[in-house]
Amino acid sequence: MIININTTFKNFHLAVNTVVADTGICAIFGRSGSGKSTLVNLIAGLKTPDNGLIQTAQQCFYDKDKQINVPVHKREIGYVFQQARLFPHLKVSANLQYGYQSKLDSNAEFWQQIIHLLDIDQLLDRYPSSLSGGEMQRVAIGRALLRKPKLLLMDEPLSSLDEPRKRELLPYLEKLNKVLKLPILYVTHSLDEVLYLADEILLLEAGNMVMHADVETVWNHPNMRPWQAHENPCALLHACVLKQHQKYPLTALDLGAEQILWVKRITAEKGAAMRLRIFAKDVSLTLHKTPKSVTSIRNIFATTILNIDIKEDSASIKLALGDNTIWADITLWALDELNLQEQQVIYAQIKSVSINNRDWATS
Amino acid sequence: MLSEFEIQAISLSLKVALYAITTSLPLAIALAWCLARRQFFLKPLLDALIHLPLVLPPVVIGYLLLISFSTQGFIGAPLAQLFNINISFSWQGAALASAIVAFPLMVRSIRLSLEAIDQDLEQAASTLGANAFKVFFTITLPLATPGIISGVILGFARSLGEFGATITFVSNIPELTRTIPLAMYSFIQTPGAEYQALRLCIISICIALLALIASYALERKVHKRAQNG
Repeated sequence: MIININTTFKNFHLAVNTVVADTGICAIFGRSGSGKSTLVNLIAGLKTPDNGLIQTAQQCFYDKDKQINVPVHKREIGYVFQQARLFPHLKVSANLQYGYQSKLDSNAEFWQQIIHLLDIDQLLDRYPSSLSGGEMQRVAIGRALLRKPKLLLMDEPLSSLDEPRKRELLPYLEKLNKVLKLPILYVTHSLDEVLYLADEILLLEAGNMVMHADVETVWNHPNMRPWQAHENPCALLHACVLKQHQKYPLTALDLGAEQILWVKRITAEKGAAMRLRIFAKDVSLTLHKTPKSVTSIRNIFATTILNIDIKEDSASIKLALGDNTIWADITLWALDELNLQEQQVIYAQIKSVSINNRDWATS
Repeated sequence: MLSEFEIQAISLSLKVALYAITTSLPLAIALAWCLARRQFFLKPLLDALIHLPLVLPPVVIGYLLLISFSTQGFIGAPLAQLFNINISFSWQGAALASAIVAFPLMVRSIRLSLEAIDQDLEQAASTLGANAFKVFFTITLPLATPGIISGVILGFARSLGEFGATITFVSNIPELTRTIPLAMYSFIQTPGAEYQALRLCIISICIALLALIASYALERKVHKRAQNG
């Protein structure tokens, strides 16, 4: 879909010009107040821009030049809000049916599919006020999907939930993306959710689109560094499952270029593609390769130093590992004593136990 | 048990109140919606006009109705000439007087409940493909039901108790315009009719109590449905 907006609201300016893929999840990422929700509301038609063009593969929503501005209820979208916004006077089943055109017979199958996908068959006879936050949000997602949208908008659908509920809902969202072939715009400010779900990132800053590309590109770009500085900086890389260890609960991941990373067991089929994050604090550097018989470290890679970023209390070393880039955070003391230089070849060590099931997602 | 005279007064009172409320309810909802949701020029004036009957002495309202709806009045004259309708000195006139004094109470209560509705829900409905019409009838109106019910009860009660505007506008004609309060007034004016006045007084209390209990039960039911089923 094409988004080309350049508009001003009171004292806020929003400029986005990009093309979003027709399948997969595009994360709209940025600080609060950066215009994420505004962008989604413009696409939904809840707000009107001054000028520009918003067009999906099937429908033109807004075109200033052609004087097109389709009203909200005629845009074929599903919108999942931060709060579930279920209708309190209607049962779950009636909520689900609200936007659902049940006239076509084939839709019964679709209904069943969505109900099962989201595990909400047990809730149909209940009123929204008796549901938990996670259940409410699942019903809200189901309600949006049953409208058979051509585009799904999600505005921080997890942010109103507590941590366990978030983890409960994430697999559903992931499943959704795989089963349904429709573009999803997903507003978030959580790096975890981006890692878990997104295929693309659209990075917004103070109303301006800074970047829009696939997750790995944006993630490892300097534009994302300020974000990662808040949390622990980490690198995102592509991998696929190579084999399981015969004796120990470990899995070998192929990072490409014949680099193999052993991590705690991942139950996935051989060849399954995944996305993996490695925190800079979990990577240490050594000048000499130590044999595995004398160290607990299971992963040692020959890398090249690409860049050394000296900060107040530590140094971030950017390393080329095969086709990927990883970061290592070390002390300034170590930096001086090892006398590291750019382009130098050095061994990076990664503890297998440092990568747990929150650090990878199948893709 | 009840005398024919009392039955007449009660049924007339109920008829007048029922007509007054049912015919003015759609307009009350429409105006309440305008006041709750729309910003427009002269909105304070409309607001004041709607609330005027609440603060004006009922006799003033009755007098204004009399001069405008009598056969010589500026509304009454064309009505009589064109449609041969004359509502002064008839039960319809009593219903009109009741509707006007009850109107602000209804609008006020409906408006408050409309303002309390989370407009995010209406927005959500529109993203689910509902046009403004469907949103209003499937979301807004059902959610405002408690307020509409209490508005109707308030209006109904006010209408049953209407005295000043009614007696000024449609006078106190037995069988035609003599509602319970007017009948009581007549008894009080008649020496030796204290017993009849007392009976009407008790009847009034019973009707009022019944209405309150009914409204309480209804409101609870609606509230329960809206809250947790």
